[in-house]
Amino acid sequence: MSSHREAPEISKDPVADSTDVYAFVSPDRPGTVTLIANYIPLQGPAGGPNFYEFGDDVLYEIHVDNDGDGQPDITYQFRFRTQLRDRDTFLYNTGPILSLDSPNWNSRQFYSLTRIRHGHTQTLAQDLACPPCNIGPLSTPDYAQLAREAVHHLPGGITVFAGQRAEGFYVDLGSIFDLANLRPFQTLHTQFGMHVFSHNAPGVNATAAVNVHSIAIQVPISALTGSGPVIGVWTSASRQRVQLFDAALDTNLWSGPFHQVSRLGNPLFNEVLVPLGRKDEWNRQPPSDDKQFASYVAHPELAGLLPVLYPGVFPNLAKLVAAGTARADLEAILLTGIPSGIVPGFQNFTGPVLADMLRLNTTIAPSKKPNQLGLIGGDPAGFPNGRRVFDDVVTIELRAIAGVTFPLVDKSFKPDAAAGVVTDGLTAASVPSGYLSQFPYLGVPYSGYNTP
Amino acid sequence: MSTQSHIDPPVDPSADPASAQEQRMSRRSVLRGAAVGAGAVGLATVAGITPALASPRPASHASHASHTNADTPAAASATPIVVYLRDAASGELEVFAGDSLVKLHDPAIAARLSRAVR
Repeated sequence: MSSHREAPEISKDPVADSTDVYAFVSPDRPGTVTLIANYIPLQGPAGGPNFYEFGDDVLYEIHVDNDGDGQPDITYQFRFRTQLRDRDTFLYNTGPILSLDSPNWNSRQFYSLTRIRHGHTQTLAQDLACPPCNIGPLSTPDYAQLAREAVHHLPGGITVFAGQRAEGFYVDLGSIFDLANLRPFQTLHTQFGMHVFSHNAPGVNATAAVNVHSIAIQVPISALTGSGPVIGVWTSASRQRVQLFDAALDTNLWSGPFHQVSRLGNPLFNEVLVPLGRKDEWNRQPPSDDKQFASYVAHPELAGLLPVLYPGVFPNLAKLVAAGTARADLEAILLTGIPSGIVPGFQNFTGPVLADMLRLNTTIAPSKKPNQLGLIGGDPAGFPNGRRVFDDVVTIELRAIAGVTFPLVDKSFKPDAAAGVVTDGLTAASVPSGYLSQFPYLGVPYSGYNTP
Repeated sequence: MSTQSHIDPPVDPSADPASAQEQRMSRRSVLRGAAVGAGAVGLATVAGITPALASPRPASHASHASHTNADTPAAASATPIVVYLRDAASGELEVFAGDSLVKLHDPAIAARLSRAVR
């Protein structure tokens, strides 16, 4: 997955587990950038009576670096507070929830939004209401309206939302984690000699009916950029160092400084590139320290596996790997941004500091006809220039790792024919909820009744 | 980075009288509530008392200054102080209060805490 349950420790702490980050120039408000960080992966929509909530004990942050040092210049902090109206019922709601202040809604969440800019902290809003989870036609009969009520407009041209959304990321988890047996190409897989598959098959979207919790903020571009137009974006979740159950008080206590337990910039970075033994460590580090992980980008394990699992399909990639050639193309895409002169008319370079951040050149206007393959599909408004909610990041990164982007740094390299077509077989159309054309852009969450 | 833990240097009680006083207060505060918990070196908590250890020398957590106890679940029971005897042999203690951390070096209190759990 993009970053769902991607590391051993965070897989046991879902409320702090970041799953995806998006950053793009808002298509309907092109003077703004939309930043979205998703948490709490793989929510079964019917998961009551304790439906999904942000962690009151988690510090959620979206960071923006605008000077290329891999450290935040602007941070938006989100802190949540859960309010239980009636302790004497087991129900999440005792009747239809028709508004955010409905007396029928028992367990509500509110949040504060704080901005830290160059060390100066300012509370932008408090007690902003989240929407409920999407329960079903009796409990949340007009969910879209409830969600609209939870879109808050703040001074300074800021718009914010925090709450449940349909998962917009699509991936064939079943095939990828079954030893990279991509269904559209499974007859080419070694199948380890077991001859299980005699026909290729379309991809299956494993995240087609699950929800996530999104933190979304839309900000004027001028409030994010520094001296240049490119920003680096990532999210992090932090917990206080000490958690303790006080038996006398019958409650949990938290104490001490916050320490980071999860982070996410580029999709699949920690999931696919960083080895299992260092994933937890990676989650605790800031992007500015990512030099220590650069070798996993320069020599990705998956690039070595593809020619082995698909014999004869990736011969040029096999030679590249055998030669021990560092993947400068992947380093540029993921760790520094792409300098000018590589892709005509495009750059999202932030400088020499190696840092996993989602880099967005804010001067690139939204596409009128977006290509979900982003830059490799000829659409510079998409990944890896930031990331839109519908971008096919699995296919893009598969193809990049397979060698399709290596000619950007070595024109003599000829990618294998398969590198340009490899995919898990999914597209944005594989997402049943679809996407919204306006903030917060991710679709209406699947309801528990209709998606049991 | 705003989410990094910022740690004050260890306190040397011999450095100045104020520090010595702070150290004495610390020792009293800690021992008053010393209920040593799990682990080889242990945890001690003091809930609901003035964070005497932390307040004279708050950790440099400027980036999180806005979300102190009022934002944390612990607020309901006032500010807990949690003492972690990190290294009994050297007397290294970490004292957590609110969203701050103070490091102390005090072999005497470390020895008393260690004796308490034997």
